Amino acid sequence: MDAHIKKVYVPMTETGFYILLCLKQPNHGYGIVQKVKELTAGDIILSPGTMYGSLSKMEKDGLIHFIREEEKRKIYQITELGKDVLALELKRIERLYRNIKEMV
Amino acid sequence: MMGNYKTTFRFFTIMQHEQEAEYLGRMHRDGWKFAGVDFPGFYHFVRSVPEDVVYQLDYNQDGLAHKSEYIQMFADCGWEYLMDFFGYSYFRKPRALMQGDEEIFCDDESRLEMMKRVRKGRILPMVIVFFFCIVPQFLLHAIGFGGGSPVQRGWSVTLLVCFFIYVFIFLLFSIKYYQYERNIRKDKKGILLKYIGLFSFILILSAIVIGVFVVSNRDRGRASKYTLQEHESGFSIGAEYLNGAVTQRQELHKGDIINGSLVLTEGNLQIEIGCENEAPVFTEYVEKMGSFNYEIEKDGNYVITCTGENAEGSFYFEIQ
Repeated sequence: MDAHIKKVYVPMTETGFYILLCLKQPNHGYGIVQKVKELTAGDIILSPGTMYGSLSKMEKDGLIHFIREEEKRKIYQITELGKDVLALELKRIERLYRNIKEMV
Repeated sequence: MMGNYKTTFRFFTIMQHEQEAEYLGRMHRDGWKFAGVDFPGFYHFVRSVPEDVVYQLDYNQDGLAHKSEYIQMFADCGWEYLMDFFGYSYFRKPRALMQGDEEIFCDDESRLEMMKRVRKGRILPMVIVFFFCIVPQFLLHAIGFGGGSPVQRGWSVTLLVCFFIYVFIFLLFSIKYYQYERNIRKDKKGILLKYIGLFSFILILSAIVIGVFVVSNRDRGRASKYTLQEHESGFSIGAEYLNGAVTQRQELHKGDIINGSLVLTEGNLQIEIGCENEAPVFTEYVEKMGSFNYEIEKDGNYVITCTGENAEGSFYFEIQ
């Protein structure tokens, strides 16, 4: 993983994290919005401008790749690089969680 | 249907898209639904039921290149696509359909990303025009490179105004960009230094530009001092300092020849010959030395105008 990817994506924004997490299964932007709403019990509603910008940027950086188009909706899936980035982020969050548990 | 349509004029610069969106929302709450915008800032509205509708602007060239998917994603999220204007896309969504406050961006990272797209698509071209056109053109015109005619002086003022409009837009953009960057980035000290550097640079450049303008105009206020003498066959001007126009009226006939012989020790001079209240038939521009012959083509009351710019010297006009 090159330094640029690490600098931009670690640590990750909540939006970026949920996009990568949801794209373990193929999905489109609005599908991710709905999935995240469900996962967070309606607390996080991702916005279309943020979603569109993040998807194009992640595709350009090779974290996700385009599979096919369905009714004007682009379907993406995570790449190996994307999985590596997600694993790094997961490790970071696990450490945060562990430390909180120890301290509190 | 008078009274059902309304057009207003508003000018929003590049970084004021938030104010623009707020303005459209305010109009909608007052019962004026946004119907379109034309260059440079004519906003069209249609009378409608007052409603709390949130307006938002995005700048995304990638989105415009893949328009159907782009619009689809906004439509899926309940945002109605309205139009594009200079790279910006307009969207709206009634507040009644929202859960809490919604915007088309949900974090500062993506707001900063939009600003990066604006910087690349709108600010960068302006920076290029600024440094390769406005600044050098201003300096050339202000110092009077290649003459320093009144036209050039006019240009230097116009370019000075352009200079400050650009500086104003750059400052607005930088301040906005700084606000988002400060919220997001960890290296606060580095960011602060970067912006202090940028603002100092703009300040120094502005000081240089104002300095050049003031120095090149410092003689403008000085009163002209000259003598005008009429001879049997013409007239002469001895100028200790001439800034502005000296006119001489003369009745001339077809075939008359005006000989001019001009010696300048300072500044420059423009000669114009023409019938009264008509466009000049002859124009001569002189630096240092010059002479000319002009043969009158029709009878009439002529005006010979000598316009000096910091001019010093003697100018003879002989009529044969």
